Amino acid sequence: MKTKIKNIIISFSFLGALLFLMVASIIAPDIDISNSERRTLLQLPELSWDAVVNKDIDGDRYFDNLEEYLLDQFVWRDGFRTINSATRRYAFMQKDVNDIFVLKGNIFSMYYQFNEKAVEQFAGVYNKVISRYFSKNGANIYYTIVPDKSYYASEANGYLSINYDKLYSTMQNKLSDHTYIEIRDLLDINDYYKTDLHWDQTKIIDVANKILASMGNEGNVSLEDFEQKKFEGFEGSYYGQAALPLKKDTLIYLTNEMLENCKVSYLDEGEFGKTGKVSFIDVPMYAEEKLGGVDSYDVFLWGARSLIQIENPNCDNGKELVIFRDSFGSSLAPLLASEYSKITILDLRYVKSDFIGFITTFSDNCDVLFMYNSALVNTPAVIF
Amino acid sequence: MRCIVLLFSSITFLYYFLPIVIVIYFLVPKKLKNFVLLIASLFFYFVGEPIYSILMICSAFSGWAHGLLIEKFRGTKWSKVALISSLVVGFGLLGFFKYSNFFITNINNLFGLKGDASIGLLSIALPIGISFYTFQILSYTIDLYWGRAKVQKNPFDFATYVALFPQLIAGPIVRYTTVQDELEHRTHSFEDIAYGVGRFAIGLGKKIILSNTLAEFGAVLAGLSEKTVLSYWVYAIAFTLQIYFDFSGYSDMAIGLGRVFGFHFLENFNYPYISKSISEFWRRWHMSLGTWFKDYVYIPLGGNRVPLGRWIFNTMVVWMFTGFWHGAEWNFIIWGLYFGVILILEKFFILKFFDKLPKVLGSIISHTYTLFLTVIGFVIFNETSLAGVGKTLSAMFGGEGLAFSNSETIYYLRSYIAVIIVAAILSTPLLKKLGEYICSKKIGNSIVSVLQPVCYIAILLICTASLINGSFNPFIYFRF
Repeated sequence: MKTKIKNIIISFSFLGALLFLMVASIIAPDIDISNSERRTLLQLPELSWDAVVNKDIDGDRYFDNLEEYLLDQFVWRDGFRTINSATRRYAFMQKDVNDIFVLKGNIFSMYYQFNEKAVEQFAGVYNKVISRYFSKNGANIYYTIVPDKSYYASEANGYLSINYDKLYSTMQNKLSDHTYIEIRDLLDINDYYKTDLHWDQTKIIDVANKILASMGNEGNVSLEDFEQKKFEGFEGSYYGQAALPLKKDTLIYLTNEMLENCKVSYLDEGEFGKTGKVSFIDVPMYAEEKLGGVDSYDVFLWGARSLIQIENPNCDNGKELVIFRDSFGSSLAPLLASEYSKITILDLRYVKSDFIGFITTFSDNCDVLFMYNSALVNTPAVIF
Repeated sequence: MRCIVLLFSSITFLYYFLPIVIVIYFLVPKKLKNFVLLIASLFFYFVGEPIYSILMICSAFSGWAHGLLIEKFRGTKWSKVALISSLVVGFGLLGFFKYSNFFITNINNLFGLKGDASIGLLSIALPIGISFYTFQILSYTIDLYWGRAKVQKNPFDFATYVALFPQLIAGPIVRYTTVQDELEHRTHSFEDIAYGVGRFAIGLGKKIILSNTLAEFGAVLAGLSEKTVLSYWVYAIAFTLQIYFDFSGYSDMAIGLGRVFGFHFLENFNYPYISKSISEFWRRWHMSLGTWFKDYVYIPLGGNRVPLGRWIFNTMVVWMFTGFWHGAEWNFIIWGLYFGVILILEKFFILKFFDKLPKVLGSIISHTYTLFLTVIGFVIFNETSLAGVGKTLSAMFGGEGLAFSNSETIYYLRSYIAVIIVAAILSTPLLKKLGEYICSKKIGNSIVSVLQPVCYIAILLICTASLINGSFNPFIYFRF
């Protein structure tokens, strides 16, 4: 190739690429929410002389905010994120990118710093709740810790791993008056979604049975008891973080006539926040409208909710189960429903323990189960 | 707070400012090209420093006006007065904005002034690039006084020189004599544009792909739950590579952009990490600053044609100011003096010792010696306090009672080792020589010709991907 032609090609191709991507970014409509990143994207900042010259509350001027907006709204943003992730993983052979690593198509989040104070604070909140609401009503207190899926993969594959034994023993020492239900031995890496942090509801039947048995229930559940409903193309929360073209999951949720007959309702938090009035909104057990949204796992009991009640008309034993849980509990709770007339599900991340008495009451001799995942237990100040 | 400037490595610059400026620049007639560059450069600076844009314009006007006076009174004492006046204004502004609080803090400390008795610090931020454009302006007035430069009568052309956005905020320090002819008469060709585009792409890659990743690695190491001796050493080495790719990457981008617009800036880096002495290192590192101090400070002080004691004094003065130029902190002064001492020792002892060694052994030892001292130097440079320097150096040499290594250090070292190796290789001329060898063959040249534009686009896309992902994007040389 003649040098002159080469120079012309270099000049026009580079400048052409800049102009093409500029025009494409301008033409492409702005997006409100990034499903892959699970966050709202910035919109065009308002231009004013004051914004250009003076810094805002975050210490940024107009052009700083404009840069952030242009980054968020850059054309083919997800594609570029994939290029970045692939470059780091395959060209630079980084073991993780932003603490996300992939093993045979299975995505993990790496965390390894044991936070003893966080674990103790977590247990402290449990004890506070027990002391305040369950010390005089004859409740039976149980707790378990759901192992996050890194438990089954990090250390064995050369990744940094938290000292799980220390985490579990710290929790057990602080809750020694209550019954611990060990479930780690019932799970393995295949029981979790590949693209998500959560477990697969179809793989936790044995976990449900152990918990039921530990709480003195005679009945148990079997996969055959349920109809499996499937949602193909499930992109779990790690899928967007990994930003790689990995195989998506199939999300399966279990239902049957008994579950469909249950009355499910969640606290109308908006109404409670505005007026202080406790009212509930009746909903189906599974939020099918959430499938394909920002987080399809919200199909289980409507995602992040402070208080949900499941009343089972097919169970007349009068027993109540109270579960303090995170999203792992959302997929487990339906599997426990057959043994209880009522299940009250609370998430201490969304309702401060001091306020529980304002939104619900508990029956005497109820079973109480605390179940949060190990990563959350190790995180400071998530429940109060 | 995010970075407050229109970085070359920002989406705003890459995909909006730059293509628009280039298109307008090549569309307008020749007589308007400088005007386009001036407006673009002022906007470029205004984006990062709205208020201090006025300061830069005033500085440029001062340099231009002093130039006219120096020329007008040439041959009289007033010409010298005009020169001194330009130096007072230039160094005065630099001193006020960059060093006031340093001196106030040290006066307070020296005299034990505390509380209401102390001198209050000034509420001023460091104007971006003031060290660079001040030195450029002064190079003009000094060279004009010495008769090396031609007077610039057009204030807009002079302002274009001072504000020229490719080198405005991070150099290289382009002397007026380098571009004085090109300011008025420069040509444009696809050869220059292609070279400039390629150089810009390489600089962008150095900055975003390598330097930012190394910076991220450094941040990871700095945040380890348990630091180790090894983590301190790896951090120091990573920073040594990071600062090279950061600064030389920016210089590449500046030189490349200059070439696109028809300017031929001098090189600023020449593979400093292959040096076999600190003297050689400083002939290869930030060359525009080194030659500035040599020509405008060291030689006027008498250079090396003075008695030994005076020469040592001259050397230490130059290196103290070199360090101080980098920042108003004691660690920068120590950093400069550190190199001053090493250069004196090299002249009298070390280089003579190396010369006596067998060639291969001498080469290994001298190279190791240089890299070791360079890494230590950048530890001093990178710390924000003298106490921090002492603590880090102590930790590196086992003085803090730390374990040599742990699983955390090893994990991250393994995770980033490829980046370190790639960066280390690319800090040598190995790839350049390989490219030259391939291009010397006909078939190789043809392959390179096809791959070159593809590689530049690939670098651009990877850099864009990194920016979009919100990766680390610090820029070390802003504080100068």
